[in-house]
Amino acid sequence: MPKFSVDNSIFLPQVVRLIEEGHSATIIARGDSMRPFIEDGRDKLVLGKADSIKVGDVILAEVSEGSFVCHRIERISNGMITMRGDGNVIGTECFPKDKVRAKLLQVIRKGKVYTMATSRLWRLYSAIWPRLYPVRRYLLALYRLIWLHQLPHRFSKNV
Amino acid sequence: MKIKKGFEVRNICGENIIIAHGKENIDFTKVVTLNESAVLLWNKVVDAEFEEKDLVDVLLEEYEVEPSQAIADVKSLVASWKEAGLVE
Repeated sequence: MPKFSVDNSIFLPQVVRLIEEGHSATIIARGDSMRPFIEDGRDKLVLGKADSIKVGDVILAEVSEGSFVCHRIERISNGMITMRGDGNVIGTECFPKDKVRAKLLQVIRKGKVYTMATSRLWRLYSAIWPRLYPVRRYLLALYRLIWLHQLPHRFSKNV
Repeated sequence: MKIKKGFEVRNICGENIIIAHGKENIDFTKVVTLNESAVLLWNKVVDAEFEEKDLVDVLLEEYEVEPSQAIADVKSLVASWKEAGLVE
């Protein structure tokens, strides 16, 4: 089956439009910023309307015009949302609540469907992973080494 | 045969993608796209009953193509529409 890629700044507004019309949309996850649960190219995200959001939810936000980011809410205060990707060690996004465009409803991880609202594994992971932030750098390095078989850069043969 | 209710062609980033309005979830990881001539045929028959021969007639009218080629192309297109569950 042929593949085609579309730039997010053009594609995601269309996805958001369909979500506003009452659909949910399934897209392929891109990027490493939601590791270790969600892996680039392998997993799929089911996005839907962000009717109610709370800390711990994963949302899609248009952080600046045409720029979409899908990360976990770390904090909501004074109408501003702070979010951080599970796979990010440094860097958060901070923006007004009205930039939220969709909410992650399900993840299809390695072919298996996890529904955010009900999956025990997801809820456990969501409760624990953000709390491990102080050692996240090392856990992600271990994840890359053990699960992805990626040596740290300085040990790579091809530099 | 006719195209099932609730399907719409939307142009997203230069690709004509079929969106199913009746379906709650739109799966962008597996989409059906239509090329230019397929969109033409789709638009001609989207609201009506049609036979393969009607599509062949449209192709012959719009394009300079051999009837045998047009028939073969229509056969293949309709087969792919049926396989994608677009036609009843």
